Amino acid sequence: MSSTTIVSILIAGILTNNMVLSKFLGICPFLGVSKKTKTAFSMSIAVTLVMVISTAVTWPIYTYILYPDYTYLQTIVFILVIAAIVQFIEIVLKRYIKPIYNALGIYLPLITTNCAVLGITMLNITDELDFVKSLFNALGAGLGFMLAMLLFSGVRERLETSDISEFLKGLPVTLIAAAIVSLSFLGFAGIGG
Amino acid sequence: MNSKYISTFTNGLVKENPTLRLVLGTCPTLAVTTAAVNGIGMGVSATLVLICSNLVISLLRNVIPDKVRIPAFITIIAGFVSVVQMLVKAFLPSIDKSLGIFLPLIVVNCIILARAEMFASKNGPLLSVLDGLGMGLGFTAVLTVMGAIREFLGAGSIFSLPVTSEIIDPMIVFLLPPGGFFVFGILVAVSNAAAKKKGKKPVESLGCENCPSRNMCTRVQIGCEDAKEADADE
Amino acid sequence: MNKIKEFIRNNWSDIFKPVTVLLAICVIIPLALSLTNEITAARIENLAAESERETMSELIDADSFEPVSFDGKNGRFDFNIAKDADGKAVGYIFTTSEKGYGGEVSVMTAIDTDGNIKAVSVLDASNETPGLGQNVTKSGFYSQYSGLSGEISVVKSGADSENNEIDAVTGATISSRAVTAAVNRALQNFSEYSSETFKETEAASDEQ
Repeated sequence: MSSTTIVSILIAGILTNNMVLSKFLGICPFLGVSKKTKTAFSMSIAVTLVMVISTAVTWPIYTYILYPDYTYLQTIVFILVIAAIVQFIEIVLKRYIKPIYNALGIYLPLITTNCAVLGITMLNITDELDFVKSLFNALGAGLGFMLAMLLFSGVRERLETSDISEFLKGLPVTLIAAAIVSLSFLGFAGIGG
Repeated sequence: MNSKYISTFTNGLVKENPTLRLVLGTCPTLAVTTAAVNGIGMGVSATLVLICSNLVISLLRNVIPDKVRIPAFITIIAGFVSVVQMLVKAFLPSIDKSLGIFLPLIVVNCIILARAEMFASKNGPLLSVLDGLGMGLGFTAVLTVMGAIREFLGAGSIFSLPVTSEIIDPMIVFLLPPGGFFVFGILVAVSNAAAKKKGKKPVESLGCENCPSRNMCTRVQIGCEDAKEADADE
Repeated sequence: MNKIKEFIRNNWSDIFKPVTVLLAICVIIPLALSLTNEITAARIENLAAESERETMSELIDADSFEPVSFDGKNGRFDFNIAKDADGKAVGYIFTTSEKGYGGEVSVMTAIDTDGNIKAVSVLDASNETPGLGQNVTKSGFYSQYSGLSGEISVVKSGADSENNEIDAVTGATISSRAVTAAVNRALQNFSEYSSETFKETEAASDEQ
């Protein structure tokens, strides 16, 4: 496994195939929790953590247990495993690493039904990545999610103080701002390809 | 027919349209609407899951203990999603290809969990089925309209029938991610304007106010209030 | 014994009922799923085989197709030999895939007995961008491959078929390259297979 492959997987996850802005996964937290840069950052850290750990657990389960006879159980097994992992992380953090729990704990229950986490574990399987590549793919996706969240929270902090036409006030202008941010990501097309 | 049943059914179509009024299930709304037919495929699949899960959860509402209701709901929903997934693969393979990963991701579509939690676990089977049908059709309608708009502007066709693609070059950007955000933004703005005319509150943001998870998990609720307090502090 | 019964009774609604209900659901749902799988699995498989056959017949005129496995330099690959009514090989069909912009792009290539491409069909480009990369599935693009052989390369415009060049789809160079790479792999697989088998036939004719 060469370091260039790792770099290109990470670049793809962060820029060219950004989870939120080009794959439309994890839109709910992207629009919902991006009002303040600080909350956006904590949420993305929690999502990245859960993505990598979930991939580390679901990949072996799929490859060694479900494949090839029980692939139809993939959806149900993955969502239950992710739900259990989120609970487990929460308990461990609460018991042993209190400061991190205080910072991230409230976001963890939200992540169970976050399609970005289930999405990345499934994409690793459909793209037929091996175990190490899957882990880096999950890490790249999480970092990409973080980049999108941070950029967008900056945009939104500016939006708060802008004078917006009555027609677009509220959610519409947020969506149109997201359109412009995602337009800028189109410029990365081709990097690392 | 009792008027209660009719209003339950129409509720999801307009007044509480899951996509435009409750702003739930935004991921599939943005992702699969590159063509009108994909919008229908996604909408119908989600409607099927919604009706089945609402029915089963409503029937089991007195059996499932409160403590484990979320994992129980998720398991039931995941079961129906897998069934729909296999049926689509077997009978509509082209739809399966174009929906891709968003077909299994119906599991985490918040519309379904939200209706299970807010409606089916509190109402009888017939009402729950009607609620699922209304919500599902409301979702399907918005997805189809949005797919048609993006397909028309981005590819110059509607339902794969060429309209203007022969005359002018279509604006491809409407098929790309920015076009999705933009068209959805305009649709929400139009729906907001219509709501305001009727004296209803426009949708301000997709924050914790509209988040279905808020009612599911008290800790998240605390989290939301924490965030609000933090907002107020600064 | 009575103690256990009492313990269960005391904790029934707190511990045992939730666990029992959840367990029951987790048993019933997978059972229902395996039942659906029984019904649909065969159909899904047939459907895939049928559509493969259909595409093969569109690419090349043949009476039958014989699936073959071959140990190449870079591992084992499967392909089909297209045969006419007399059972004589009229062409070879390879299905290959390469990474495109959003995921794998899979391509079916039909090659005649002389090693020239007869026709190409893009089987799946659903992970490419709609309106851009997905345009590789249009015949205006993939018909460029017909008649070429050897190593094919992609140029942005003004392709010269004498030099084995093809024009990329506008704005979708990566997807076009992925299709071309898949076609090149098919050609390479063919040359590996043919050099091996033609050696055998030559050896056989020497012995006579």
